[in-house]
Amino acid sequence: MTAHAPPVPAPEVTRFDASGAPPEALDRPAGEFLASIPWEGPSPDPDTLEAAAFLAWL
Amino acid sequence: MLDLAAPSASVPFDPHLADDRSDAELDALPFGVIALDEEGTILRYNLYESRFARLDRNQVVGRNFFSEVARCTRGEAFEGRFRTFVAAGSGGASGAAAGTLRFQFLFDFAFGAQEVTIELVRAASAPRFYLLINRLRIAPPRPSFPVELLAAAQRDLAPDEGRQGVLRDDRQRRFVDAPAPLFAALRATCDRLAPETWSIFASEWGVQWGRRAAVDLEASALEEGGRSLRELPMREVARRVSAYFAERGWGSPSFDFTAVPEGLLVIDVARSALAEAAPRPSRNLHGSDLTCHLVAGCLTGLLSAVADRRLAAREVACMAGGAPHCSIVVVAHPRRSAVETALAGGSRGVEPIRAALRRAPRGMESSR
Repeated sequence: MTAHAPPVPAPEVTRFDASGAPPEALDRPAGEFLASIPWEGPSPDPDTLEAAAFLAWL
Repeated sequence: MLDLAAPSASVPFDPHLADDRSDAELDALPFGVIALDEEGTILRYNLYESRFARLDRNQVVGRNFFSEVARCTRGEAFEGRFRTFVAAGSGGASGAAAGTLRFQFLFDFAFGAQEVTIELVRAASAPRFYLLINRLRIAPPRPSFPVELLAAAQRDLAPDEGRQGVLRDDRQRRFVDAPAPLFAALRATCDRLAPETWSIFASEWGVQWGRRAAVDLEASALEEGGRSLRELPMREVARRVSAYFAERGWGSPSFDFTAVPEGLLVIDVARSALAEAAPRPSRNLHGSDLTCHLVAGCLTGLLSAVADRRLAAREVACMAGGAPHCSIVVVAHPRRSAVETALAGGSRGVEPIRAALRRAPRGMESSR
């Protein structure tokens, strides 16, 4: 008799979503895709941004 | 706001000064590191090397690298070079040539062959030598290679550990079956002793975990397809990251890239083990409705390693606070303060945080 129970097999992952991006974008290499994200934030849009916030960008 | 540790990718690594690096720092490096004394006795052995060699460092430290662990390195091609390199240093040689030696080698394990580059470096401050090992190619076992010269397997070094309460998976990674009540107990302990520390403690723990998870996922990617995580399609990396959590029972993360043009990723986690282990809101004495800091920290460490830039993952809605699932946003580290400010002001959920980020000034600090 072994001293421990055998490991429980990992469940198969049946749910995976990667929504919101064009399929071709997600086919790009991860390093390239992640480098292309505008991590600093989008460029300011004066039509939608409040004046004080827009001026803070300048 | 306490700053979480920066990902190691942003800190240049000087192998001559490796003695100054902690084991935790060596564990986050994306290549193997082994420290030897002049005789070849193993002094240090990092996580990446442990993962690829499928050996537990607790069994290799203190053993001779050439005769007990990597027997395939016996002979002129590796051990001979090492002995000559050591002797040259003790004979008074100086300069860069005496401090570093590079060559290629093929490791032979029972489970496969690994073509590597070796960088042999003399430590600056002590008679210690560092092997930096970069994997170039993973191949099947060489049938012609003598069995007696194969690198040691974990079962050779610790044949009775199965009877000593040690569990290992198929890659010889030791694991512990941690029941969900353990996490409820951890949270309850923190709530009793130092409730204000829970978020920062769990976040930092998660970051450290995430760095190690990145090493594990990187090794799996190279073993299975010969490509690093950064070379795999983003979809596949997202799938692997999700599976990493789901297969271990943490819940099921899914990536939402809708807000990428605004510079953020959203990751929703269904059935988070941490959220379900947390006190319910009505009984939560400390008012914390966000509780999945450990998973968010892990995503911080993991995704920062893949992106090779400093990111921050922060939970913005949690099942423990009544949300249908937990939501984590990933932003560049300089924008984390805008997320924290919005959360401190009572904002919850992805859309309010997106709106807050739109109003926030662009981060001027470099996130690399």
